[in-house]
Amino acid sequence: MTESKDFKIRASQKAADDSHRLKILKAISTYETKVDEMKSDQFFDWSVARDKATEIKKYLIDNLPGLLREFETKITNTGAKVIWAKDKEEAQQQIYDIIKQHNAKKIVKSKSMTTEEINFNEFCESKGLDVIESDLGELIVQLAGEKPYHIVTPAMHKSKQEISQLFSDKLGSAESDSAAELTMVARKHLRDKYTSADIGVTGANFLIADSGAVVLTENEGNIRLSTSCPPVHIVIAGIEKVLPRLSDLSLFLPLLATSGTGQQITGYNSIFRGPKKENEIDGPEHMYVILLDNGRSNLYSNPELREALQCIRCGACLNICPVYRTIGGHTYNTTYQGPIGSVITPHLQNIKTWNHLSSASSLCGACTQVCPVGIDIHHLLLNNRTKINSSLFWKIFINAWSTIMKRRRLLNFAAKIGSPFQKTLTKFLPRGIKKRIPQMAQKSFSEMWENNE
Amino acid sequence: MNSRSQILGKLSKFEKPGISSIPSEINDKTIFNVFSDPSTFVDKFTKNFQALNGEIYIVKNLEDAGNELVSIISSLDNKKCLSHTTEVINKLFSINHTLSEIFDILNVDFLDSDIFSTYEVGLTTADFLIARTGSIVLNSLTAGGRRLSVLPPIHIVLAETNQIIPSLDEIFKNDFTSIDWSYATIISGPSRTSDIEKQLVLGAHGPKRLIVILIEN
Ligand code: SF4
Repeated sequence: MTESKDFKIRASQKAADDSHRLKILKAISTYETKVDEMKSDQFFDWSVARDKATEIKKYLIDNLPGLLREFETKITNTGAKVIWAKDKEEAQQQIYDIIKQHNAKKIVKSKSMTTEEINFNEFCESKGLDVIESDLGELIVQLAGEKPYHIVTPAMHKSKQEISQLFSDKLGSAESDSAAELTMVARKHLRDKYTSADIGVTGANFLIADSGAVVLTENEGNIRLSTSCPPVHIVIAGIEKVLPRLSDLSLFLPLLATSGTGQQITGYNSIFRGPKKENEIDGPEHMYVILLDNGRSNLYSNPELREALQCIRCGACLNICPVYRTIGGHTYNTTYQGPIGSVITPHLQNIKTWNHLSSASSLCGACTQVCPVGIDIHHLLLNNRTKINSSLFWKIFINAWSTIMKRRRLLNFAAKIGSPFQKTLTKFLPRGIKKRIPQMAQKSFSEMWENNE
Repeated sequence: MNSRSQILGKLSKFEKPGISSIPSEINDKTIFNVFSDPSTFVDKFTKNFQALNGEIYIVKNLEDAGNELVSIISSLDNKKCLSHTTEVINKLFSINHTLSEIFDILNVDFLDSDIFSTYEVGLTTADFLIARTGSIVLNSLTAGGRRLSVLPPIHIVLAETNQIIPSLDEIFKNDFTSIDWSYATIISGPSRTSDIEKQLVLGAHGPKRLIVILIEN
């Protein structure tokens, strides 16, 4: 069966799953209250912040190759090694070379969407390496043998009871209905993993061109531990992650925290400028930064779509999306779910297989409204859609439609001849549309207006 | 052709350098609710730091700071404490002998993280405290490397009131970025997670307690 048919089956199953919907709505409403509070508490005017961020991101997109070169030069000067990867396979191979070179067996990894993109865990496991997810949410989905449900909150779909059961099965802990106790189980389980790991692997939230820095944001401290104890630090970053200046962080860190989790700023925002210096007591001896393309340059080469690269992966468009809320994160079957995932996945992977996602939207525009970096998400989805429907029939249909819609008289005429058929026509609408469609009015509003009715 | 030149080559075909000039630097005052009156900094920092579940002790001088530290440690079960050396910490230990006995000083013997892991308290200094967000900024030189402020379950920061700055933008405006550190972090409260049903739990992987001893000057 095709991915698109599978998607429909999964979607209709999830949409009818009440317990799923309850869990998701509960999590999202907690999130929404916090975000609204934080937007008004922290910012004079959220839209000013958003415009400024958008301006900086647009500058970045226009100047991407130059800024990447600047980043590369600066971070190379700190002693870190920069490696470029065209795609998933190349990235895997390069990482494997580093692992072999350092004779590493144990890897501790923090939450990163790029590692999901390149199937990092599966790849390492196939090579007999031990990979531990250190983020609590990621650990939960790893133990459950699942993929992340959400780009920010990977285990959003799991209830306390399910997590308790999972921990007791896999880690042998006592069952508990307290989130605090369950967190302590994970803490204990992971503690010595940091200190015994040979390599720490992270993603990157931002790469800073003017100072050659990698910036990572988190709440738990697992990133800090994974980049402090192991002797090697590997960063896997998408090439679009650059910001021009370190000082841009004073806007982007609060912006990301507010949109992502409704926090003023996340617990730890760490800036890395290479491996440990000679006068420093600890830190990794080696730092590698893998710059991953994996389809991003395809997006970049399309003038209408490139603004999708402005995304800071805050997850706000997922949370607001009525489709995401109904069908859930796993239904998409992609690394990036929700509206932005539907925009970029067809271009990062394969347009034929994945473009059905562009139709998984009601085009209500809520995503565009919440996006903190001003991406016109729903128009990009529309743009993707035109790529699927390029058949002759569609072209004739859409041309006729737009001709009629643009001329008042034609529209009136069409409505007139159309209304008697309407009842019959609605019978042929695809099954699943269970709403009754009201009768069309005899006269249009403009006719009534003209006749002063 | 290697991947680097392939990727950069493809991107370069579509870049538009010079089409827009670089946006002006961020000024937090135009974006956030920033407190600009320095006389309110201590209050604001204290309030915001506590809102993040940080513990704060405001003291008159270094001597009082020492006494406060002794009393914090005396209430702990595990009293193993680790510190690095800075001018102010050295001074503190020279006037408070209880502390100089309690604390071990970080040195190359601690490269083994297993020994490190037995410590309950890590004592560091910091670069800045941020009034607007209640955050602490430190780097791998002011904080004795990377592990001391994150591996022990309790992180204690010795700071002075004149280190408080109004907002984040000031961090990037001065010498801080030109110092040769490999690592810096902005800490906002003890380690936390809301990954289970969005409920806030403190002490996920990093420090469970974050304590600031703030010396007035
Ligand atoms: S598209 Fe916008 S709202 Fe969606 S994740 Fe990216 S930055 Fe956030």
